[in-house]
Amino acid sequence: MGGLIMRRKGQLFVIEVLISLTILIVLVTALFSTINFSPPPSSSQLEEIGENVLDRLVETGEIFSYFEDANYSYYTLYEDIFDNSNETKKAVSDTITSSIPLIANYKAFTYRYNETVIDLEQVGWEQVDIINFETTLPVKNNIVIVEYYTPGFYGQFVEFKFQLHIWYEVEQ
Amino acid sequence: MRRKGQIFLIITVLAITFLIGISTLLLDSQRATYVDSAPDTFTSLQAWDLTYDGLLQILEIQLTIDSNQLALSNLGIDLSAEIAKLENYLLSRGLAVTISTTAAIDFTKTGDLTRDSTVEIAGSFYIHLASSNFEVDEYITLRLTYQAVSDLTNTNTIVTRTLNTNSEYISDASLSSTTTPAAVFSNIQNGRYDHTLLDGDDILVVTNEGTLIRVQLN
Repeated sequence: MGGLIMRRKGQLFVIEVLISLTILIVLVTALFSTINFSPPPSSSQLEEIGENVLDRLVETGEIFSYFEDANYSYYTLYEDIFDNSNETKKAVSDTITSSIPLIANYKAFTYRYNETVIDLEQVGWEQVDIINFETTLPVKNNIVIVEYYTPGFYGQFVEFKFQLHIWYEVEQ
Repeated sequence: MRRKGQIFLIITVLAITFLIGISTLLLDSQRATYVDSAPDTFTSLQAWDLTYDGLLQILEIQLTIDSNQLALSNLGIDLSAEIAKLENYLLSRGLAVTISTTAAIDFTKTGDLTRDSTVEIAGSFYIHLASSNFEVDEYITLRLTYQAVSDLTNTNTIVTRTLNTNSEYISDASLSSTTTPAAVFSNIQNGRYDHTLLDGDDILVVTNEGTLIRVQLN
């Protein structure tokens, strides 16, 4: 008799444990479904801003006249960095400056694909110019890089790419 | 009795393991919806944009080249070298895009030196773009048309650019004529250029990209 009662008690305990487990699981599920443990990442939006800047430069055609001038400066005048006071370069840098947030800064690199250049580091792409040369790329902050590529312009197949680096000068 | 205690201990240990397991799972799935919703969707959309813009630009350049060859009227063009360059560039950025032409790319010039003149380039492409959780299989047709129409009664010329069915007025074209004294063109800014030319005078329209369209006022 005693054994039977004990066995029944054991079963009761097992049932109790199961019930409590169920309640716990339901509770945990309910909790986890309402509380966000990790909030949505607050996007810096720099990438989107950068894309918009590039779109704008292309739509206004500023970037093409700048490419043309930078190309002339590099390949005909043999200048590593094209004159800052040039109007087409100024137009591009003004557009970028006015489009990015005040606390952000940028530096842009222009490359042209040159089949004769075989540099192991950047196969065929030759750096033609830098916009905002005076700034140094930050070490600590996140840099967002957006790039525009064109197979050519003004009726000529000349590959150019424009690499825009943007970052916040102030830690977010 | 001791054995029963052991069983309870085992059950407790199992229960704790189970609980930890399920909570980790829940936490992971919860986090995933916020953090890893689609890590490379943006990149893929960028790849699509780059592909589309690149193709359009290639056509635009080819149209400029062909429109400046005065003798040319109709031509099938091979742009595979240029398209391969575009693919190479995309690949250099880690974007595997395959572009193939599904029909011959055609250049057409109609009504050269008449009242209504057009230059047109059209191509059909198949674009395949794939990454870990994004795939695009798309057929696109790009038909780029520049049109200039001269109007004798109002003595003006209207210039438009049409991409597929989307037309816009070109207000930054430059117009010229070979008449003496040189004709004066005034840009009315909605694609209309007023002038004082006479019946039968030729007008050369050069767009911002350098595409040439020739019309005759009559």
